[in-house]
Amino acid sequence: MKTTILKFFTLSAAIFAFSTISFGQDTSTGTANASANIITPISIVKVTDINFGDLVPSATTAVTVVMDQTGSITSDAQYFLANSSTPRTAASFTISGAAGHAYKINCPTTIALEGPGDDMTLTFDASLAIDGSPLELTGGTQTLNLGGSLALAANQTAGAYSAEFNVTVAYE
Amino acid sequence: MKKLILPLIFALLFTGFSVNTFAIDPDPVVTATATAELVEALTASEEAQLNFGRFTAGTSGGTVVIANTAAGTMNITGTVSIIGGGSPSSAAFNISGHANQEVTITLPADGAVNLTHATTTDVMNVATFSVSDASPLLNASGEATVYVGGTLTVPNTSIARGVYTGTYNVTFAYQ
Repeated sequence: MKTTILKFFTLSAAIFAFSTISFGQDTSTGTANASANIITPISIVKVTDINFGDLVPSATTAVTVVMDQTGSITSDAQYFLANSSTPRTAASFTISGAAGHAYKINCPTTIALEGPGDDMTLTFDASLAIDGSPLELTGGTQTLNLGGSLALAANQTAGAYSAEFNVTVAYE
Repeated sequence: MKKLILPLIFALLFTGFSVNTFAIDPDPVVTATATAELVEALTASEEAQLNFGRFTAGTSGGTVVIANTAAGTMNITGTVSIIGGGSPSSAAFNISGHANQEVTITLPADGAVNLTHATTTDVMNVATFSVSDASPLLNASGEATVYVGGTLTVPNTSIARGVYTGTYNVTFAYQ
């Protein structure tokens, strides 16, 4: 009885294995359509960096300075030095690819600018969703503009502050 | 049994290849920079107070003018006459901020400031404030000093004798 069971098991295992191979070696002929749709690769190019120019902190209170997506000052102008040593610009990127294709942008929504004093938090104000939400590449080219709000501490230490950040695009 | 293993090896190879493909062609990425230049906060301190000195109104009053100079020279009009012992002075403000930056100074509007008698409700009006330089340039150390003078209107003899005081705001801002 012991032997019989053993044989039975061995046999079934072998058949199972064989049947798998049979499927793999099926030579029956059929027709199938193979097609490929090559689309323009998606790309992103930086046009301008974001630069708040020369800022004047309050001696007594923390303030937030705001620059819109066109680089215009939209908060209290007293914290922006009128004679800025560098031009104020919003960040701008050109995204190109297949017209009408779904894609997404990944970019941090806040970054920390580092300099001689405490870090300053920059919160982006973006013209397109930058959190990876689905977008449509209307017309094959879209522009991403980034303005933002920058938080200055009271009497923020003078000097240059900066940070690098990555913007990634991908087809959905 | 050998044949069964072969497809398995192929599958493994394909897996390895597809991973490689991802590494070669990642999603397009671009690096941008965010910058800001912080300048020193603008501060100002009153080093000397504006003082219209000591005087009498005379029969019909007049004005007392303090020049917007370091000396703060006192001049009078009308029936006002200077009495010795006073210490007329222009106000002096030390400004500190970002080197080589121009500063704009805003004084109170004409007639907006009153000096009030120490014990009565009598007032004298400061008609015109003036500053030695309304848009001084901070030096290489980020400093400048300006002097503020003004014109005090003395109504007539009926107002109380004594000390009159008041406060006023001067605003400093980067140009």
